[in-house]
Amino acid sequence: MACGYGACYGCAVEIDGEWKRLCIDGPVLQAAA
Amino acid sequence: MPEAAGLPAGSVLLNASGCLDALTAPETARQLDVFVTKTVTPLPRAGNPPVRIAETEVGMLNSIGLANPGRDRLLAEMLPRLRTLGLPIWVSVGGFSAAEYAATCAALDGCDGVAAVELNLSCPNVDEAPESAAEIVAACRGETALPLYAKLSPASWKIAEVARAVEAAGADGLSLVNTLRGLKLDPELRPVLGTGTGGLSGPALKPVALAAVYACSRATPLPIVGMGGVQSGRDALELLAVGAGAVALGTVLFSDPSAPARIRDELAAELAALGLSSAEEACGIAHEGALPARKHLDLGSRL
Repeated sequence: MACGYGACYGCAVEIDGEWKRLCIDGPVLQAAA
Repeated sequence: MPEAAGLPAGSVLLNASGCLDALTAPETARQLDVFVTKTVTPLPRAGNPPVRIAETEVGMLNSIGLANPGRDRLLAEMLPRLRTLGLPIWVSVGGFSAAEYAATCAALDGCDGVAAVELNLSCPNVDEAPESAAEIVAACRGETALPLYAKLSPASWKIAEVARAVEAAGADGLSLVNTLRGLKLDPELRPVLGTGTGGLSGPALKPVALAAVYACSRATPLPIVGMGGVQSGRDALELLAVGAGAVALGTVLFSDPSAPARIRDELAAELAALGLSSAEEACGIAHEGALPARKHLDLGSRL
């Protein structure tokens, strides 16, 4: 993670085919639908 | 290129494409004179597998891979929200063929709030279109009246020739430079990034950017947006001095969301110390002898 506020897309993780930014969509995400 | 209107002196700061999400950080975007979107491709792209970011001793590597929601969602969902910022918007356009670039330019033509198109001709993290930069510019020129800025790679030794070629093809300006390809190894001597290599940005890129702007500003009269490793007002001044008319901030935004305001203040102090009243007066002062008469830099204040 380079920025922590949604700018860099470095922290993106794939969940059910969709990429989530941990910094702004997380930090806690449901692992699967 | 139309005359620039309503641009107060000192309006020189943009973000480098992909280094700021104005919808999640509007307070940072509003410190800029122009907001440049992350590169959009015709279809949505998930981007590259992690790890996507790696820090090095001299800057950072990224391998995002043009992750974006695609052209249709940009137009339908993002542009209306971006317009509320009140800033001129430049849309960074990518593609995997000249026809893809041109189709996006056609879709953007006449879009409210879009002041210019920046053609990302130099992403180091995805396959390139088979056509040359000039061929892509020519294809786009036929589809839009919007100002076209060609973002070139500093990896070519012949960047000035490329600059002349895109000028002849109809480009209105240059964005210099994109990242350089780099690689970092982990302690077990394996590449850190998921794709192995990535784009190197940050302080290591500044001398490369200065050289590219210097060379291209001697080769063409096109206005230049200079970028690469800018962290301070002094860095911005140096890009202006070698021939840029405006400066874009990239990696510095990741560590300092208030960088545009700080760098604007620092640049004003640098200019004042030189007895200069505007950034425009600093353009090209590092060159000996006369530069080609430079066209006015139109940052697209159409709002």
